Amino acid sequence: MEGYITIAVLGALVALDTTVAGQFMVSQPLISATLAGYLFGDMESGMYIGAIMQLMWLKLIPAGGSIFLNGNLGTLAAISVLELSVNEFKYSIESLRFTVIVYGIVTSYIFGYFTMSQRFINQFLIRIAHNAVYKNRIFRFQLAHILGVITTGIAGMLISVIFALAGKWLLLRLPPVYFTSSESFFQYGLYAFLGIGIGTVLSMHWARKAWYYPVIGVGAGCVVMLLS
Amino acid sequence: MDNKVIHRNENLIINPPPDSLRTFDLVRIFLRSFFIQATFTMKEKLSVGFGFALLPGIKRISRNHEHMQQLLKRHSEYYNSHPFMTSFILGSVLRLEENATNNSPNPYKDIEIIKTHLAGVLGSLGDRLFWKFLKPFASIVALIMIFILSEFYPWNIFISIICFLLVFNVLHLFYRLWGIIHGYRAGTAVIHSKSIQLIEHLNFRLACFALGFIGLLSILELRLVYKEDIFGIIIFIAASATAFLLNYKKNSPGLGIIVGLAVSFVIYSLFHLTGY
Repeated sequence: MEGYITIAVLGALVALDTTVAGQFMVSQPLISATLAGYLFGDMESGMYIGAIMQLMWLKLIPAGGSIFLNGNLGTLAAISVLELSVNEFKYSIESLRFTVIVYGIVTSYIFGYFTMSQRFINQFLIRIAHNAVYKNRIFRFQLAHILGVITTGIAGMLISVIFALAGKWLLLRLPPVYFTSSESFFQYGLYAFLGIGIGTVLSMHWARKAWYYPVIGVGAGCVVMLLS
Repeated sequence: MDNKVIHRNENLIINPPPDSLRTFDLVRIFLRSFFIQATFTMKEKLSVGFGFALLPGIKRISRNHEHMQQLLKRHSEYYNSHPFMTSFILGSVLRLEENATNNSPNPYKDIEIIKTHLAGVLGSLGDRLFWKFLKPFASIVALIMIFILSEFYPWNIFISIICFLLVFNVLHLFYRLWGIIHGYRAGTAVIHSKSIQLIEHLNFRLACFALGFIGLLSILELRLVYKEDIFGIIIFIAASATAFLLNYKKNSPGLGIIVGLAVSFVIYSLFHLTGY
């Protein structure tokens, strides 16, 4: 029960910080997943999944009118499933991490609709706010706006818990052949995710005239490797 | 001129003179600006959020209830910009509304220009600075910290998280706070603000540093991958090249993930079948 309460609180925090309140970046995968891992007593898994998802979803921009994938809530769903099912899971930790990352990617797409539904609810709240202004009801105007914060928080709580439960249910019912036939692939799959992250970030800033900056970085990396 | 004086005097007689804004009001507006996106919609964008954030200032400068209603109605209409950069608009609009209350000539045109044209420019600048350059930069720095300080586990994770939050939020909070203060001081002259003109220069520097740090991070990750065998490096490079090409040419992170993973699986299967 404590685990679900933790997920609910984190779900509200992530849903609010993503766009509605503050945007202090606490909702970013690296931070939210590590925090979830810490609260569940498995910070290493949290950091690992958070780092991979952070790199892969860096290109998502929560800007203006765009309907973006919700990688933040997707990551929380992934780490929640991992932490809830780790004790009952019979196979390797790599296979568990790989599978929950795939689940996190899928749910990130699904949670994109959460953003859309939130904006749909906001249309009603805006109507209430505008009516309140016409009737000179300042308190009602403010209440309508604050309701936008409250509904997002509650929705974040609910969908985090629902998708954590659904993910755990699905994971524990996956056919054993999925884990046994490709056991050795999962480790390499995680490396592939790391590579995808680096490729995605590099594509964001790449410019032909600035080719020497990554080269300098690679040189510095080699020096760090030699020194350690 | 005489008419105007008489008109002003009439106003003074009918309605008491409005207060000027206090520091406490600006603090309240600053705090409310964190919730500006609470009722974001595709059609109205930040409309109600803008009015909500501006309300403490509106209450202070309005002459009476009708005036307050009129101001709130005007500032709850369509408005769109970057949420962090909106602070400049909030401050500037407050100054102009305050001037308007004190009967300055034709202030509404200036307010309209600030809320449409400058908001658009600031929106674009903010999106580029915060989402395209600063967030990736902060993330890469945090990940490098995790790798470099790995001997100090778990402290390396705490340090990297603090680093991430500091790198991003110092600039974030600076623009939020300074925007309101400077916008209120400068009014329409906020357009010439150096902190706004600095953004493009800052973007360029952040992009250069980010590129360098990506190179460093890729080497650190390669070392992690190499712990297993050379096969890990092949998969890492193949996935990274695929994701790079698909994101660079098609701008699709989802497609990059799916195809990158598929390529890795094909390479793995080929090596596996050949008995590697």
